[in-house]
Amino acid sequence: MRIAKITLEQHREIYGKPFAPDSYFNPTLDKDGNIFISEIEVQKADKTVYPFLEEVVLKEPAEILTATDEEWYAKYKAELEAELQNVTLKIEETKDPVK
Amino acid sequence: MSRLYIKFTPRLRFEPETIAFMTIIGVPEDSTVYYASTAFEITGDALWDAVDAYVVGIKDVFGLPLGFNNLSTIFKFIYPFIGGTATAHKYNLVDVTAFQGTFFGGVTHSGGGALFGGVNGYMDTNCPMGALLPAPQNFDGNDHAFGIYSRSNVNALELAVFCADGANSEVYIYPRYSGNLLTRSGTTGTNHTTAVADSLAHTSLSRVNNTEYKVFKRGVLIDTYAQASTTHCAEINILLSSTGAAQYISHEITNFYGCLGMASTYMSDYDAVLDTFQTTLNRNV
Repeated sequence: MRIAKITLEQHREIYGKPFAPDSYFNPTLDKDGNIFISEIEVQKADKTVYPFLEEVVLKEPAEILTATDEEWYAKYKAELEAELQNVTLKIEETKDPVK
Repeated sequence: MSRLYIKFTPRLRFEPETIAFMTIIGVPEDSTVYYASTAFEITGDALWDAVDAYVVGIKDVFGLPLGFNNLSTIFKFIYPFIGGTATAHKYNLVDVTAFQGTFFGGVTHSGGGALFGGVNGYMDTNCPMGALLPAPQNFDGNDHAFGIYSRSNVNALELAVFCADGANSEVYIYPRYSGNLLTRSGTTGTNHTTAVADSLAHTSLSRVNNTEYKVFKRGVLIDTYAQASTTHCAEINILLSSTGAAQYISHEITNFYGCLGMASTYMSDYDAVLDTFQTTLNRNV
């Protein structure tokens, strides 16, 4: 069965959601750090609910990229930077705890 | 003057489990054709008869009276995978209201059963190990048996039956890897290997007492071994196909069950009933 790589954000979007009656997405992390779903999930899911599934590319599991360490470093750095965009840090003065 | 009344209770045309199961999967007892133009083409009438013969056969094997809802005294779940959809395949023949399965990932449903895609597909029985056979139904609080009927001949590290929490006794069944059936049901963390020629048809593992495990292939006892065992991971659900990386099965499964630990005689007789059922549905291998 072929699989399709998805992003961390896409994983969060579909995780725990049904793609067909009584069938749920199972985004899976492989040993190389790829997150993927199966061909069945791509085919059966409602593309109006998950439009990104129109664009994913189905490949045999062996064809999924096994990246070099440098490539993974770049990938995780980019993901971390994207995550940090969602984080707001601010310093606030707080009252002392109960005395 | 006293009167003697004799009340005759006619045998139900179908067993209660058959009626509940066939009704909930939406197959009426009529001439509607299912799985048309496939090897599994069959009418609703014939499906009812096949399922009922299977239920009656099981009751005969275990000496259960006919006409009563009593499969649950031996089995906790049987998934016959009839109906050709995830919705139909989720139902438990033993009790359609209990332990309805949930499918995840790539699983293809058809008249042949549930074909797990081998990349991320599995079924959660929603049956925790602790609910499988609570005392006093079982022999000593821990005995159990699990079995599958596979239509696929696969020789790979694929985990078909899985229940583990990393701390307590666990259950693993790999139908065939490097020519061996791998099973685990204790706390050793190691698999027991038993040479098998294929992964086809009925494979089962039975824990029959505190220390003894029996491995069956097509109902024939092919291995007995001892493995240390304590309490089982009571709150963990039993899975068909593993959630572990790269160990999802690529088997087409037509039957999955969990029940009391079975001795050789029972397993042999049960296998005959299961095989007849698969033959009737043209799913036997």
